[in-house]
Amino acid sequence: MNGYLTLKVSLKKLFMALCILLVLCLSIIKSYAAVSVVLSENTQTYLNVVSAMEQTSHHPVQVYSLSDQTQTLASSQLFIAIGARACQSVLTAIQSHQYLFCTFLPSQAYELILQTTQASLRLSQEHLSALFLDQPLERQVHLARLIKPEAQYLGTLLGPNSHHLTAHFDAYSRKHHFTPISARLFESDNPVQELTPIIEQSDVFLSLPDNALFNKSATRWSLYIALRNKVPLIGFSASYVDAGAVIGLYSTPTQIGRQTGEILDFFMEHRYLPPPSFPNYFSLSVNRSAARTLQITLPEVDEMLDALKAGK
Amino acid sequence: MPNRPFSIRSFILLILLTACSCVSISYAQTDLIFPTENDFFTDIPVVTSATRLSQNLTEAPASITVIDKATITASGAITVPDLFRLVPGFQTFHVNTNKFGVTYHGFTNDFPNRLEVMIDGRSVYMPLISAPDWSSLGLHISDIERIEVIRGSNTATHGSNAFMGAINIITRHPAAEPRLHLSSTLGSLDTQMAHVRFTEANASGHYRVSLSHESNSGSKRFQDGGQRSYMSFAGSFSPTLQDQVDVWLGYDTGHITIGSLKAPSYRLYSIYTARRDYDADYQHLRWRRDLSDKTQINLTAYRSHVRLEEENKSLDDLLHSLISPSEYALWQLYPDLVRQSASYRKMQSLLDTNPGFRRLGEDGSTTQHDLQLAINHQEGKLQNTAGMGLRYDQGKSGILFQDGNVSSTRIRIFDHLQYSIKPNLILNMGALFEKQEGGSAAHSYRIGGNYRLTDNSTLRLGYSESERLPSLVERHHNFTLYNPDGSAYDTSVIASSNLKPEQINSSEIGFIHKFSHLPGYIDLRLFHEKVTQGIASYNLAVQEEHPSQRARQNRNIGEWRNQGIETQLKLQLNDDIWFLANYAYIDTDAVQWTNDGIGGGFFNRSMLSPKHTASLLINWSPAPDWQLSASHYFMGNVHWLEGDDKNAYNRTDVRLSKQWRIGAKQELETVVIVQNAFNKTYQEFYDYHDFERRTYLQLRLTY
Repeated sequence: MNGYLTLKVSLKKLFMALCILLVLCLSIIKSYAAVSVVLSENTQTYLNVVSAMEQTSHHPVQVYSLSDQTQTLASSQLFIAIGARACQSVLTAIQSHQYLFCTFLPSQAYELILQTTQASLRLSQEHLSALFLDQPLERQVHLARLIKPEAQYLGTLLGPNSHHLTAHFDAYSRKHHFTPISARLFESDNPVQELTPIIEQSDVFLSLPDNALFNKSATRWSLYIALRNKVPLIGFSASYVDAGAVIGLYSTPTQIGRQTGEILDFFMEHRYLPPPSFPNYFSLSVNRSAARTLQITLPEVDEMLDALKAGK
Repeated sequence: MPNRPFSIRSFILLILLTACSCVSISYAQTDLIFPTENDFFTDIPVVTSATRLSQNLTEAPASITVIDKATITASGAITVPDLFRLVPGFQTFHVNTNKFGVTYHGFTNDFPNRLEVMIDGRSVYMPLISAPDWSSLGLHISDIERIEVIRGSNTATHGSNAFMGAINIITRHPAAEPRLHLSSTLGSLDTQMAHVRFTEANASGHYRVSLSHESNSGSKRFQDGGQRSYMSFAGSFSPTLQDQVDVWLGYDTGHITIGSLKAPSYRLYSIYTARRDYDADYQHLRWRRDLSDKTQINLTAYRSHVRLEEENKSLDDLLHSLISPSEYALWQLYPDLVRQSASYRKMQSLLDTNPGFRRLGEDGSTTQHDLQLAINHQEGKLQNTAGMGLRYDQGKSGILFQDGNVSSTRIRIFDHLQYSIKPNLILNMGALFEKQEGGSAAHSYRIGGNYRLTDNSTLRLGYSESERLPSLVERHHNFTLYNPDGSAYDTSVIASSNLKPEQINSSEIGFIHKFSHLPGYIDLRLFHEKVTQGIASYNLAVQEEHPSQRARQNRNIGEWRNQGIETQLKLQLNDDIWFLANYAYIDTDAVQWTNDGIGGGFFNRSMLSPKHTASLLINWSPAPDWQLSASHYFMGNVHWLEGDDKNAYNRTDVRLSKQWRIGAKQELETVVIVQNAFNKTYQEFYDYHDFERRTYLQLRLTY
C-alpha cells in the first residue's frame, strides 16, 4: 500500500515538473516575439482584425487572447491591443520602455482608460497611441449634407458617453450649413418623449454610438420615429443599416486591421507610434428598402465615399 | 423512451445547471464602466429589413423560415394560413371555405394539434379543439410584420404544443406604420373585406387600432360562407430607456359554416352543415426591462377567451340530412304523419333530454391564463435564457365535457443556452419541464451544435427528445346520449383521464449557405423523427354483448416515423427581382396505429403525409410603382384523417399591383390577385369541396 502511495506521489511530482517545464518552454518561445497582439476576446470579429493586419504587414506577431495572456508578455517591445478590455489590461502591466498601440476601440473608451489608469502616466506620447473604431464626427455631419443637400436641420440624441460631443456637433453642423438640434437622454428618461420632437424637426437624423444599453433602446426608437416621420437616419454600424437606417457609415474589422497593419509597418521603420487617429478606411452601406419607403434618392455610394475621403 | 446509464437528458441538465451557476457568478463581477467596441456591434431589432433575411439564421439552433412583409405581400395570400404553403414541409388545407388546417409533416385530421401557433408570443392554440382556430384570431394579414416558423420539434423552447414545430406571428410595431391605412377587397365567393388601421403617438409611446369586417358566401356546392368583424389594439410604451411595455387587446366575432363535407357520391344529400357562431377576446401584456446591457428580464401575461356556438338544429333539420331527397319530398307531403310516429317522438324526446347535443361537436367555451417570467443574460461566449411559467386552462361544453366544466393548471420551467466553444463552433442546449396538476409531467430536451465551415456556410446537428401533454379536449372529451329515464341510449365518446404524453425523438442535420455576391441563402435539412405514444381516436365496443354500439376514446395508440429532406432557396437577383423556392420530401411509416378494438385492427397508411411538396414565389418590379408576382404550389397524394384521400395538385397564383403617390405622404395602390389562375379545380381536404379559380381586387390607401 505504501509503495503504491509513494509511486502515486512520484508520478504527481513528475507531472508537476513537466508542466512547469512546458510553461517555461512556452514562455521562452513567446518571449522571442517582438510584437504581441492581445485580443479582448478570442472571437471571429477580433480574429478578422488580426487576419487583415497580418495580410497588410508581414512582420511576425504573437497573438494572445486576454484570457491566456500572462507575465510571459514581459519581453515584447510593442503590444497591439485589439479592443478596449485588452487596451486597459495591457496598459496596467506595461513597462515604460515598451510601446502600446490600442486599436479597434471607441475613442471615448480610450479617453476614459487614459483618465482612469495610472499606468498611462509612465508612457510617453510616442509609446502610447490608438486607432479608433468610431468615425470622426465631422465625417458623419458631412455625410448628412451629402445625402440631403437641401436639408436645414440636423438632429441627434446624446447619451451618457456621447454628451461631451455637443459643442463639436454644433460646430460641425454649422460648418456644413446645418442648424443643429440635440438633446441629452438619461436612463430614467422616456426615449419617445425626448426623441419625437427632435426627429419631427429634423431633416436628417444622425445616430451617435453610446453604450450598449443606450444603443439598443434609443436606436430602436430612433428608427421607428424616423421612419414614421420620413426622416433619413444615419447609422453607425452595418447592423443599424440592416435594421432600417437609410445609410450607415462605419469601419469594418478588416478595415481597422488593415490600418493597424500599416501602423505596425510604420513603427517597425521609425520605432515610434503615430498620434491617435480615426480610421482612414471606412464603408458606406445603403438600405434601399428604407430609402424607397422614405422616398429619398441617394447619390451613388462611390461618389459619397470619394467626397468623404476628400473632406477628411 | 429507453433508459440509458447516462442519458442525453442528464448531460443536458448538468450542463444547463453549470451554465446557470457560471452566469450567476459572472453577473456578480464588476463590469467595465467605459464603452467598448461591442457597443458598435449590438444587434438592433429590424425595423426595415435591408436584405429581407433574418440576421442570425446561421446561429439558430433549429431550421427557421422567416416569412417577411415582402413575401406576405408578393404571395397574394388573402388569409394567414395560405402563407404556410411557402414553408418547406408544411401543409395548408381548406377544410371548408372558412375553416383551415395548417400542419407540419402531415398526420392530422381537420384539427392539427401538434403545432404551436403564437401571435407576438401569445399562444392561440385552443385547448377546446386542440388546434388554433384560424378564423377567430382577430388578426388582419396586413398587421403582420413577419412570421418566424420553426421547422422541427421545439417543445424545449415553446412548450408541449410545439411538438412538431412552432409558428410565431409578429405584428407590426405601431410606431413603424403610416398614420392611416384603408383597404378594401372584393372578389370571388362574394368576398367583401374592409380594413381600417389607425396609428398615433402620445407622450410615452405609440398605439394602433385596427378594425376589420369580412364576409363571403362560401363554395357554390355547400354555401359554407361566413362573416366576421374584429378589432385590435396594440400599444408600445417606453417609460424609461430601460423599460418597454407592450399591450395587445383584441375582439373578434362572427360566424362560419362547418360540417363534414364527406359522403359517397350517391349520398351527397347526407352532408350536414351548420352555422357556428363565435366570439373571441384576448388581453396580452409584455414588460421588458434591461437590467444592464447584458441582462434583460421579460414578464408576459395574457388571457384569452373563445366561445363557439354551433347552431342547435331541429330534429327535422337533422333528419333532412339522413334521408334521400325523394324520401324528404314524400315526408313534406305528409309532415304530420311523420311527426306523430313513435320513432320521431322518441328522437325528439332524446333531443329534449340532451340539450347539449350538437351533431358536429363544435360548441363550448374556453379561457386561458398564462404568466411567464424569463431572464436573458449574455456574458462573453455564453448566452442563457431561463424562466418559469404558469398556465391555467378552463373548458365548458355540453357536447365535449358532458360531465361538467374542466380545467387544467400547468407549471413549466425552462432553460436554454448558447455557448461559443470556438469562434466557429456554437453549442445550443435547452430543457423544459412541464407538470400538469393531477396529471402527467412532460420533459423535453434539445442539444445541437452549429459549426461554421466557411464565412458563409454553417453545418448544424441537432437532437431532441420531447413530450406533449394531452390537451383539455383530448383528456376530458366525453358524451353520452341519455334516455328520458336516465339510462344511457348511446355513448359516443369516453373520457381518457389516463392519457400519457406523446413522445418524439427528433434528429436533424442542417446546412445553410449565405451567398456572398447576392443577397440570399440556401437552407437544407435532413431529418428523422419518431413519434411514440401518439394520441389518436380508438374505437371500442361499449358493451361486449352489443359490439355494434361503438364509442371513441383517445388512446396512446400511434407510432410513426418520418424521415426526409427539406430545402429552401431565397435569392435577390437584383433590386427588381427576387424569388423563393421550397421543396420537401417526407417518407412516412406508420409503425403502429391500432385504432379499432372491434376488429378493424392495425393499418399502415404512408399517405398520412404527402411525399412531395414544393412551392415557388417570384417577384418582379419592372418599375418602382409596379409589382408583378407569381407563385406555384404543388402537393403530392395525401390522406387526411376525417377527410378523404387527396390527389396531388398544382396551383398557380398571380398578383399585379400598381401604386400612385398622391401628395407627399399619401399613397394609393390597386391590386389584382388571381388564385388558381389556370382554373384546374382541385380539392384540399374533402372530395367535394372545390378550389376553383378565384379573383380578387384590392384597393389600398395609406396616409
